[in-house]
Amino acid sequence: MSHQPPSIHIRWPLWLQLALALFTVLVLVNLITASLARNVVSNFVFKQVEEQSRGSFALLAATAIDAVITEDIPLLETIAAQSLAQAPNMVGLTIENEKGNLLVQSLRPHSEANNDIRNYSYTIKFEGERFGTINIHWDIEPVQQEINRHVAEVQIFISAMLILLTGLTVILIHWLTVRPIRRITSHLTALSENKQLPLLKKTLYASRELELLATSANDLAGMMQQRDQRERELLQTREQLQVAHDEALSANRAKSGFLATMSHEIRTPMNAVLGILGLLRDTSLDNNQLELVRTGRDSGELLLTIINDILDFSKMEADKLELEHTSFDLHRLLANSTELLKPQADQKSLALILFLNPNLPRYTKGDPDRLRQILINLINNAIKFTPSGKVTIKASASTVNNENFILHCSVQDTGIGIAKHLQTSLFEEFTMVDQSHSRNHQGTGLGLAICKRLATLMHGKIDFSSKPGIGSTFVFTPLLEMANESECENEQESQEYQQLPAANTRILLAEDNPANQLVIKSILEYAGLQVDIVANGREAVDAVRSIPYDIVLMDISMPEMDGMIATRKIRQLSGQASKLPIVALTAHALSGDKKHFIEAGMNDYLSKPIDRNAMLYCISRWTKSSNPQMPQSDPVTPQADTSSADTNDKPDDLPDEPFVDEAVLKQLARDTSPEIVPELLLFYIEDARKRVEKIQNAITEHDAKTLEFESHTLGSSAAAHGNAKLHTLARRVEHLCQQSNHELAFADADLLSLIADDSFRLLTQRAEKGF
Amino acid sequence: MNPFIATTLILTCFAITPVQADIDLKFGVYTSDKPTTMVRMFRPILNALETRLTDKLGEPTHISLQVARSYEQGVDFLVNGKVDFARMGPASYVTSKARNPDLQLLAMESKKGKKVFYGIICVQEQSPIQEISQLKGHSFAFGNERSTIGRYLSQYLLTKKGVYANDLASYKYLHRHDRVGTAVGAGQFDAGALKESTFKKLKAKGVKIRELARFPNVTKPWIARSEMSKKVFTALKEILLDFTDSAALKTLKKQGFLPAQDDDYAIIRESMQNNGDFFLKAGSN
Repeated sequence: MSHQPPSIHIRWPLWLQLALALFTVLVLVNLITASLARNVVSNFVFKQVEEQSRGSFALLAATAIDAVITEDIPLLETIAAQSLAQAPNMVGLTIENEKGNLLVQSLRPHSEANNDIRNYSYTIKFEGERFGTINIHWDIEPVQQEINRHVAEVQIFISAMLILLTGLTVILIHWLTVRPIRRITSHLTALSENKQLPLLKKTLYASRELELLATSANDLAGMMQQRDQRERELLQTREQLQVAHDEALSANRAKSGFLATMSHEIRTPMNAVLGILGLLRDTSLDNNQLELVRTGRDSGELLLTIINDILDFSKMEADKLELEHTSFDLHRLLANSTELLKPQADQKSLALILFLNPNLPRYTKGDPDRLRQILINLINNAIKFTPSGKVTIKASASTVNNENFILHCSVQDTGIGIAKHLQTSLFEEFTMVDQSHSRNHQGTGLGLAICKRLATLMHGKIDFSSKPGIGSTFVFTPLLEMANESECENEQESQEYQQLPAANTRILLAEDNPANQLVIKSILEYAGLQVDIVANGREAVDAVRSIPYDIVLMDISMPEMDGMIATRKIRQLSGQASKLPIVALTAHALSGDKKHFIEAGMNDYLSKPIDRNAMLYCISRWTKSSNPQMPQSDPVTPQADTSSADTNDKPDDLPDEPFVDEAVLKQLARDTSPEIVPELLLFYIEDARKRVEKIQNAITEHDAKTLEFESHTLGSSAAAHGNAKLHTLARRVEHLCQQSNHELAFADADLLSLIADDSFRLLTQRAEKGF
Repeated sequence: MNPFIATTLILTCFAITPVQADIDLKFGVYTSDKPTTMVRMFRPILNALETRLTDKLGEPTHISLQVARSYEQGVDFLVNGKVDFARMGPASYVTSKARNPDLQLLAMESKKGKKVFYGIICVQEQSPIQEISQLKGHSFAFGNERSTIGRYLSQYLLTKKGVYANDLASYKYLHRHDRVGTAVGAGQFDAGALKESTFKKLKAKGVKIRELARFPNVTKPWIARSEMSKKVFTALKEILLDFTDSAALKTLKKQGFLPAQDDDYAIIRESMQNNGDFFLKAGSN
């Protein structure tokens, strides 16, 4: 039962209110009665006084009339004195003749001081003739006292009666009303406390209203009992439902946990399989073998994709998926994603077109990987279900405020469309457009469900419209945060620049899985690096104590001591060992895990399956300084200038400039368009390679003139396309030629050929990333 | 019309037109009886006179009653003009006239149509006295010292019969006629003088008295003060002589008024003038 909040006002009990009301009435009645009584008594008493006065006058007139007629003053004085003596309240007496002349005046001593004096004047008439006037002055103080006494008596009487009446009324009200109300209130209070009480009895003397109230209270009690009964039943049902729900939830969690575990467990051997297939592909194989390996790898990668989907979905089900919040170039992300799928589109002769609305902010904050995942998924689906025609990606923005905007990204195809009966369940899990047993398209049916959840996590939504035979349009609208260019630069640079670790870099690999040990060791040794392997955390700690490694690659899940604990122990060591860069190797790809790794003292992490370039880059980044600085904020974000290439191979006098100048490329993208820059770069590279061949020929033939010309041409185009180091060196060769310092020019030209290869390679990689 | 002339005419009209003012007259009597008795006796006739005077004079006329405490005060009021007109006994008239000869007689009361009535010298019924001369050596009760019958006329009769004050064993003024008759009847005095009407009343009550002698007296005059306006005097005189209001006259115990002359009171004046003889002369046995 819900209770009304108690009123902040103090409520007085009814009997007290009644008593106060009656007391107020009593006071008012008393005052009014006193006034009325005073009026009545005054009238009565003063009438008596007047009658007394009139009587006195009659007597006086009868006595004095002869003397008045004859104006016998001595006699009148005697009469006046006698009258005064006989009437104690008479304080004065004057008699005037018919002309108003004073005949006699008799005043009681000290009567002037008395204020309560009332005068009565009477005319002496006889036989119709007026002979004079008698003025009698009465002291009415005794009369007033008498009136006051009477009024006080009346007041006392009425007060006593009213008090008695009030008392009786209060008692009666208490017995007849307050007491029954209290009983009913107690009954209702007990009901509110769920106490079982017998029904209220109807008393003989209770009023009809109270009887109705009691009846209502009894009815209420009945209703409450029924309601309690229903509540108990509902509660029981609810408990049963809760049990069922908990069981279902538990089963679902178990399923999700199982899926996550299984996904993780599958990824680990898959890592090994793919790694081995990769290594196998790099060995000497005939075409059939190479095709088999490629098919195996493709199948493995597809399986990995499926596993990743399942893992993502499991994380989402378990509410463990957290989005990144990092700055990135949205234009570039859209272009790269589109470009990534261009080969597939080309394979089906589909036009893949990207339109960026000018209002779309370039730099933004969010989770670029997840955004890319949605985009690739949608484009991939569009390509899959479009036999011919085109796939158009349009991106625009609607600004919510200065800090946020909504990305409106649509992927429109001219494909087969989606049957109407499938449209309602398209975003549901394990729903596939092609559900035939002989499906033409592979997948788990989780892609769109994951996209929808990701869009929801990004405070947006994903929707679609489709007409079978005409095509489909998918639109997703995540909420993104505005960012500026400076926030994105480091991120971009970290992704754009590649470098290899120094040769002979000593690496400790802590990994319990032998397959992974083999793959990783093969990759690293193939890159010319030294690798020692330990199988758990404890061995890792022991190893760094005794051997001065440059970096540790630490698996997280290991027997005896996991990677997190081992890292903490290493950080607790004394000397340089405690400052070793430690990079996590993990299949725990949850975003929130990064935070845990960093908290454990790790510097960075690499997710499995291991990407060769990413691993080499990471090692390079953390080993280029003997005393790596612990990152202050985002350890994933590279802080160093990554533009320098393999420092071991570069000549001493090589100008200290980047192979690829990102600023020049940005400017180039701004001057043309992000989409066309890669093509421009590839065209440049193709042309530049020819120039380099000509330079090499010139060296062979010792043709200084050609050397100078080609150096000049190469230097110019290298400067325009961001090969800064190559540009500088070409300019130096040209300059030496111009100075006829041919020997030195030809020496530098040899170096130029070497620099050119790295420059083209890095620029090619950069071009592949898109702009 | 010229405003000045108009104003003058209007003012003249106001000047010519008599301003009607109430006429207040004062009637004087002295207390020959209780003052209220006097008022009760005279108020009816005064009311009637007011009405008639108002009609006659054409002006509201009021008459108030002034009752003097004594004969002397009553005479003073009339002589000094404090009252406009008065009714008094013959002796008082003579006294007043002597003091103010300009007093004017309005009328005199009619006693059964006559100006004369009688005074009685009474003795006890069983008294051996049969003549006035036999009163010598006896006690005598007079009325008021200012009374016509009670003193002047009775003493003048005794003087004429040769009985003087010194001849009497004793005498005393008992002030009132009834007291005289009662005292004589009770034997307190051998003889006494009183008016005839009182004598008859006492006899009717059983007082044992007997008439020894009688002597004439004139009725009371109504006199106007000397300065009373001619108009009012004439009107008042005419009204009195023509007065027939029986109720008022009954209260007054008179039958009307008769024309009065100063000579009508000669006997009274004579008795008064010779009254000194009663006290000065000594009788012979």
